[in-house]
Order: sequence, then structure tokens, then C-alpha cells
Amino acid sequence: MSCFFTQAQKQFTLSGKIIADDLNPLSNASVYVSQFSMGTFSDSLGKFQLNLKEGWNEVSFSYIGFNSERSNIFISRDTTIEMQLRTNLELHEVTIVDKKQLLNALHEANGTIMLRKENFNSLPAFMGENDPMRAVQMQPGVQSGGEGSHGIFVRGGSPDQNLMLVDGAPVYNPSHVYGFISVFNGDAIERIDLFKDRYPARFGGRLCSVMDIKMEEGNANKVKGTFSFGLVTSRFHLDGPFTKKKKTTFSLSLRGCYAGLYSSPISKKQYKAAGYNGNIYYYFGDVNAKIVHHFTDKLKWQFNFFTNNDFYSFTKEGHAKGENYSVDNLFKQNVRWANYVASTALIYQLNEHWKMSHHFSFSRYKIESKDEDNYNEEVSFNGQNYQWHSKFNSNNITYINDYSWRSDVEYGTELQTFLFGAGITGVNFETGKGKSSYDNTSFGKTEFELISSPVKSLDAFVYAEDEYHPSENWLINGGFHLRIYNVQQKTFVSFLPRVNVVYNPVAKFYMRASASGLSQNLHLLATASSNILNDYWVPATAKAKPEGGWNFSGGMMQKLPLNFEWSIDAFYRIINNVIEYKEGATKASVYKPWEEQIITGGKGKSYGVEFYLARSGGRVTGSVAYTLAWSERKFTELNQGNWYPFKYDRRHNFATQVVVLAGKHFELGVAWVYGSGNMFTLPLQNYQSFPSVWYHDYLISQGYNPNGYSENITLYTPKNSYRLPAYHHLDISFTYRKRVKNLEHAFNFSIYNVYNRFNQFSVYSDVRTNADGTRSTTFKQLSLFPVLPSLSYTIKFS
Amino acid sequence: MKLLLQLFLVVVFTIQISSCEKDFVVKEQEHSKRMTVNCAFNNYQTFFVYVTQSSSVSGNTSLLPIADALVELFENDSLIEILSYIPTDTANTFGSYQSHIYPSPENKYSLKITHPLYGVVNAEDVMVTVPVVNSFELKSYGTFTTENLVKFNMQLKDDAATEDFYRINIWQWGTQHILVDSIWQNVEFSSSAKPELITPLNDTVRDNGYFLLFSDKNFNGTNKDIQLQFRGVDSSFAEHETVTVELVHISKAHYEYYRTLELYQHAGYGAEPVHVYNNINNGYGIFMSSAINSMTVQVK
Repeated sequence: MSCFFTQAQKQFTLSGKIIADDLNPLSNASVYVSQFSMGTFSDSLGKFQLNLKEGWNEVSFSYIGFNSERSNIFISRDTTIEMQLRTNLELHEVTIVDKKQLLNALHEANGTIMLRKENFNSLPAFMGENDPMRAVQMQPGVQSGGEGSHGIFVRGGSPDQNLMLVDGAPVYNPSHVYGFISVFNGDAIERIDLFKDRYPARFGGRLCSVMDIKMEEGNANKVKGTFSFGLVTSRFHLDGPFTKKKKTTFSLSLRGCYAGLYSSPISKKQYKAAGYNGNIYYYFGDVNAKIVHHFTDKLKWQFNFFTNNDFYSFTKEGHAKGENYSVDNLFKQNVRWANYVASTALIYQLNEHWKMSHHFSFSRYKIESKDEDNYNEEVSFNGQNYQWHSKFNSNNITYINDYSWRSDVEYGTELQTFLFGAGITGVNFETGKGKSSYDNTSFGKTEFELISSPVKSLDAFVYAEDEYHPSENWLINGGFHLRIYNVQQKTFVSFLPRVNVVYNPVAKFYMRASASGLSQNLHLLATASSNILNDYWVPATAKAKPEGGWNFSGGMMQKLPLNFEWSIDAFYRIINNVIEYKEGATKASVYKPWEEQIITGGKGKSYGVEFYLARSGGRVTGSVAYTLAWSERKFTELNQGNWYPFKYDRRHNFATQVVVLAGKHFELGVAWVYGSGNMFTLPLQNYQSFPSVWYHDYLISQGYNPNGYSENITLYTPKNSYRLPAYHHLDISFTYRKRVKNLEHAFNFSIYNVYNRFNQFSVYSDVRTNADGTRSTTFKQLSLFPVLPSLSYTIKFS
Repeated sequence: MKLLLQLFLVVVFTIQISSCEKDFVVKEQEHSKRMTVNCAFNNYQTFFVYVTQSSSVSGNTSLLPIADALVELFENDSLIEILSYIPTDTANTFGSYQSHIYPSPENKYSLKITHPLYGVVNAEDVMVTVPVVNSFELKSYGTFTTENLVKFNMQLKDDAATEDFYRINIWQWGTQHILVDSIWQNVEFSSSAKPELITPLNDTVRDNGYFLLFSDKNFNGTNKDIQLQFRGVDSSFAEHETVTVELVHISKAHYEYYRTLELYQHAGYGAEPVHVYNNINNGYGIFMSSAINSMTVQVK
């Protein structure tokens, strides 16, 4: 789309569409007319347009991984063509090994950001993994949530506000072990389209952004594969045709992480040195598979399956003994979580103008956690022994089952693309089922059992979207998304208009603006604690109504010579019907159903400005992205009714990366990210309460001083007013690639967090009994990822 | 392979020297140390002001009294008394600054407390009026078979011009004939009782799980009939038993303090932070007024 506009002399128009051999449009494919040294690129729908002089024109069409095509076209009138490019993976192989230039993420004029496999692979690897989500996090307005966070945070939003679709199926949890690596295996992904400026009407259900992820289909020529071995992770990928007819292709990717093999003995040793018995370990494994069958040139069927499973365990046991006291403390936490995603689609190209697709998908996300916290204390005082113990146990399961169907119809002409469609999603949302018990000397044993029935909802939508080029300088995309949500016998209807306008006043300079009505049938219940693991998703219900809002965005970008580009964008988003925990509420699903512990009807707003400078192609590529943003919440019942910072209000976010291709075989990548810390409600002081009236007045009347009957109150900062330390780390990566016959060898050495920054994962209080019997509290910060060098070896074969 | 092994050892060594846990030092915690001032005044008592020091949540949590502060009491912005510190034990562990003045209705009372280390803190609240009780009637006095439930009716007159808050305290005392060391003896008893609502009220809060606080939200400006009950002592063995029911008109600060304190006290393991109501400027604590209308009934 960005390159739709050309400034050539007006004569006749050559327009058309570039598609792959699987009929998918190829965006950013090159169209070049050699005798006039002019060209353009196809847009996200594969479309292009050029103004040419009358007569013969030699037009070349090319795209990475595909055979180039050259065609002599006689232009005597406005002409429309369709060009189909065939994959050439042998060429693709050679291109990777002996490539002459790198490609950065493509920023389109209309605000869409497109990332391809090459972008993920160029960034410094973390534990040997080229994580696609890290490439996404290098884009302006996109942030990681900090150490160990799940997902991405777009323009002051929370992770629940991003729609992540893998071949049309929603993925609810995008992260492996606490943000360690995303669940998206770079081997299995072909491309990611990120929408955060504008929201095409075909998407709905979230408030912040859309990540449309396409899995690799597998090449049709021959079976090829990749095996990569790293110290912490290993992976295997195979793709190719099933039969000689090459009508059916497959792609299979497996990945496993065995970090627990190292973390367990290391953590044991560390805790022992600190006077504890402790152990931390985690493992994960995932599978991506895709089958594509072409019934005819115009009809294809695809099936995609994707799962990931994680296991994390943390144990810490302490023992302290003095002359008059003895304290034993044990804390255990085991967490398992998994995604199971399957989708199938039938895609039919009826003719030159009409295309139709039908998708059905299933997505399940499940978390199971077990916590145990034991405390035993024995104190001798004046010859008497006093004992105190407490024991807390909790088992909890939550899951989301999502069944979706949607159908889309597309009609395209030279100047206009019209899409419409409909879909329906059934969601079963189990927000917490389990048991917990609390037993202490003072109050005895209390048991809680939460047997909640899943919240079942139906979410249907229809949409219509039209992209229109009224002139060569203007592009207008408008439409609506109508959403009907039914839950607990209540129906909510949202009519959501969308509009996006791009204006191209001078060559390679674009101005854009968009307004989008948005809605979301999910909420994120974020705790005020520093620990992001206590945040979790709940469905919109009759009480906690769907969130709605508007997003306004405007900006400009310019493409400069030598593949440089810059952009500035400002955004403003308002949200209503957000929810928040009440003061004193306990993490939902342990004691009371979450709906009894929330405040509803809150407002939210996010606003800020993004700056981006990049070199998007060449032997040296790189980008600098800076975002200045605010994100706030307001509830009548909290913070005296005043606006307060949202937990994920991160004022400054900076991300930069440079990738250098040195010679034929060497590649060096450097990346640095910085983000202001999350907001937190910090305990500050303890102070004495007023003794209860029912003690106070009685004691006064009896001539006693009641002050000894008061208790300690903990004073906190105003809600979310303390900013945790900034999150930043520098990563470097060095890759050597060599091709020997049919094998491509790649050695990667990378260092994550080069200067060993202790980024805060959680803050907790550690209460200890002193030798004199008094207690003292120390606050501890837990960091997950210190400096982590890694080495991996990858071999590609065919 | 050898190279891989060597690199592996580098990884292990590097991670080992990097601890994943360290102290989290917050300057704000230490810098937030202030005086704590607590005072609940009413028409039956002179002012008792408790002044203690707060303590950072990091470190030792002992909350020591402050005995060397200058405590000044103002009535409608005029200084009326400087309060003296009265220790109540030789260790000076407990003590309070005591006044000799009773508060008068509708006057504004202010405290100004000065300390060389903590500076000046201020607080103020307006003395509320004594609540009007149109009628009070003991309906029934329970027996062992009726679980000793004592029931009574009360009608209060609420002022339409203001948002009002109330509390109900119940006290009982007398003598009880009980076995002590196998000998029947008369023992004096005095206790508080927990009021239980028969008539529903709005915005109810409990003071430490006991006495009842509520607002006039749904009966503002009307005569409100309230039916209450409480569990009395075992009446079979009680003699000379007296019950005192106090209808207390309380200030908004008084109500907010106990409302948030109740939330704080019920906040369990891992709960969301509760901001307990605090009306002390440059310090912590509460300065709150109440006015008691007391009704005493000899029940036996």
C-alpha cells in the first residue's frame, strides 16, 4: 500500500496483482521497469500500480524466495494484469547464504508493520532462539512488559488488548516461561503483520492491536529441513511436498527447552550459599504443524496445529535458629500452562475479482498452579515457650476454550478492494476452580473450595471494509465492524466504525490518520503488586460489561534515499468499562469469585507519541524507536476518584538494533532496549491504629491506657504511584553461515543482557525474627535473566 | 565437542556469579517516617491523644511512643489548651497526651503537634451533635431456650441537611451466679455485645468485628425505626443486669476510618493494598469526633 503512489508522468496506468503459486498475494514484491529506472512494490494485498509511457515496457517482478519474472508489455491504454510468481527455494537457500543485503521490518504508509522471517533471524538470539516477538518489540509503540512478562504491550495497553491470530486462530498466551521466549517458533512463521495505527474492519475483539501471523506452508519442490542444537533449546523443522504431484505440502516444527537441567543445580547452590534450600527449574516444548492441499489452482485447503507446554517450579526453604527462637519457612510454587490451537481453512479464488475463504479454529489455553507456604516459629520468653505456625495451600486451574468460525469474501478491482464477512465464536471461560486452605495458630484452619461453572459466551460479528484510491495521492480505507456478544442471558451490541486515510503530497512522503471504534469481551485483572504473574484474564459478563473505546492516530512518514525512513505518530485511546480489584480483594479465584472482588465501570486513557528511524535494506540495517506514552485509569471508588497510572504506564520506551552483514558468511547483530519500570503500590511505613472503641472506652473507664491494644497498619503509596526500576538490556549476536553442497551450517553465539542488568521480576518482603525476638522485614527483588551467553548450531538440509 | 563443553562451563560459571535475588532498597520507605496521631473524642470524654512514631516497613517494626512532642488543642482555630503527656507505666511504654476539656457540639477542633525530629503535624474534625432518639424500647429479653437474644426497637431522628453517620455500641454488666472452684459465687461481669440487625441498614461496617457503623443513605431526614438484637449473657444466672445501648453520631472521618480499617483487617494473604483513611496532615493516624446518646435499661 505504501508504494501505491508514484510520481511518474501521467500517461497510462499499469496496475495489477502479484500472487504466489498458492494464490496468496505477495506484498512488497518488486515491480521494476528497467528502461525508465522506475518501479514500485506491491501492497499488503499484492496490488501495485505504475504510470507508464505508451509503447513497449520491460517489466520485472521479483520477490525473495520466488523466481523472478520478466514481461514485455505493450501499453496503449490503462492495463490490468495478474502475475503469479513461483517459489524457488534453491534460490532462497543461496540468497540466505550469499545474500547481498538485509531487510528490516517493512513499515507501510498506512501504518501496517510487516515482519518476515529474515527480520526475526537477524536479531540477536536469546538462548540461541530467534524469537519473532523480539522483532515485534523493536517496533515503535510496542514494548515488552519487563522481565518475565507475558506478551507485548502496545501503546500503553495491557497484554490482553492485543489480538494474536495464528492462521486465523486466536492465541491467548504468547509466552513461554515468563517471557523467556515467545511461543512462536521462528522456523514455523512466514510473516507477521502488526496493526496498531489502524484497525481494518475485518478485525475485532481487542482494544489495542492486531498481530496477524501466517505460518509457513512448506515448499512444493522438495523436502527440506533444519536442525538446531543449543545449550538451552533445540529445534527441528521439516517441510516439503507430500507427493510428487506437489499438490500437498507440509511444514513441521518441534522445539524443546531444557533450561531446568542447568537452573536446578545452579539455583540449589545459590540458595545454599544464601542460607536456604532452594530450587528453580523450568522446561517447555512446542509443536507447529501445517498441511496445505491445492485441489486446483484456485482452491486450496489448509490445516494448522500448534501447541506449547510449560512447566515451572520454585522451592525455597529457610531455617533460622537462635538462643531463644527457631523459625522454619517453606515456599513452593508449581505452574503448568499450555496452548492448544488448531485451525482449518478453505480458500477459493473464484475469478480475477472474487475470492472467498472459510476458517474454523479451536484454541485452548490452560494454567494450573499449586502454591504452598508454611511458616513455623518457636520463641522462648521469660521461661515460656510460644509457638506460632501458619500453612497456606492452594490449587487452582483456569482455562479458556475458544471455538471460532468465520467466512470472508473479497472483491478487488484496480481502484478498489471490498471485503465483507461474518463469524461467530463460542468461548468457555473457566476463571478458577480449585481449593485452598489457610491454617494458623491464631485463627485455626480455614478451607476454601471454589467450584465455579465456566462462563459461556457467544460472540458474533459482521463487517464490511472498502479500500478506495480516489486519486493517486489518496488512499481511504473505511468500514464497520458490528459485534454482538451474548453472555449470562444478556446481549451487548457494539457498532464500530473504522476509517483510515493516507495522503501522499510529495514523493515518498506520507501523512496518515485513523479513527477506530473498538470493543473487547475480555478484561485483565491486574493486581497492584509488582508481580505480573498475578494478572489474569476474565470474560466480560453481565456485571463486568465488555470494554469499549476509541483509538485515534495520526502521523507521517518519509522514505529517504539509501533505504532510510523515518516516521512520527501520535495516538490517543479512550476506554470505558474497565475493571479493577477492590481494595482488600484477594487474588481472584482463591477465596471468592472474581466478580465479587471487582470494581466495574472504570475509565482508561492512553496517549503518546512515537518516533522511528530506520534503515530498511542494505548490508547494514537498523532502527531506533522511541515512544513517550501515558496510560491512566479512573474509578470513583479508588484513589479518591482521581486518575491514577495504570500498572503498565511506561513513560519512556526505547529500542534500537543494528545488524551488519560482513562478507558472505558473517552477520553481527546488536540490540538494546530500555523501558520505564511498571507502576506499583509500594508499602512504605507501619503505624499504630486507634484502638478499637469497644476496647478504648472500656479501658479508659477502668483507668487503663488503651494504647497497647492497637495494631499495626501498613501505609502504602497512592495507587500505582511508585515506579519500579527501569528495564533494559543489551544483547549481541554473532552468526557464521557456510554452505557446503546441500547443507547450510550456521553457528550462532549470542549474549543476552551483556552488562548483567538485574531487571526486576518481582519484589517481595522477607520477614525474619531477630536474635532479640523482634521481627524485621527486608524487601527482596527477584531477577530472572542475568547475563546469558548461548551457543547454537543450526544445519539446514534438503 | 571440546569447544562446546568449554562454552558450557562458561555459561554455568557466568550464571553462578550472578545472583537472581538481591535486596530491594527503596529510599521512599525510610524517608516517609512520620508521627502517628490517634484521637477519638466524644461528649463523654476529654481528649486523649496518642502520639507514636511510624516505622519503615523495611527493618524493625517497633512503634515507639513519642513523649516529647508539643501538643496544642484548638477550638474554632483558637488555642485552648496545651496537652500534657501522662505515662501509664514505669517503662513509659504507653502513654497519652490528655486534655481537661470536653468538646462542644458543632465546634471545630484542631490539633497541632510539634516535634524537633518530625516537624509539625495538623489535624481537625468538627464535633458532631448528639443524636436524637425519639424512642427506645426493650422488646424482649431472652432466655436460655431463646439463645439469650435481647431485642429492642429504637427510632432515631435524622437531620435532612447533612449526610450523617452513626454507630451503635452495646454494653452490659451485672453479677452472675457461677461455679468457681466448685463453689457457687456471685461474680461481677461487664462486657460489650455485638449488635445484630433485624432492620436492614446501608453501608454497614463493623468496628473490629463488633460495634456497628452505618450511614443515613436511605433514610436521610426521616425518623428511622431500627430493630436490633444481641446475644446477652446467660440470663438464668445473671442478676442486676444492666444493658446500655449507645446511639453514636459520628463524623465522616470516623466512619471512613473504620470502613477502611475493616477492609484492611479482612485483607488476606496476597490481598490488594488497602489505604486506611488518614486525616493527619504530614503524619499518619486519625482525629475523629463522635457524640453519644446513651440509653440504659435494668433488665433484671
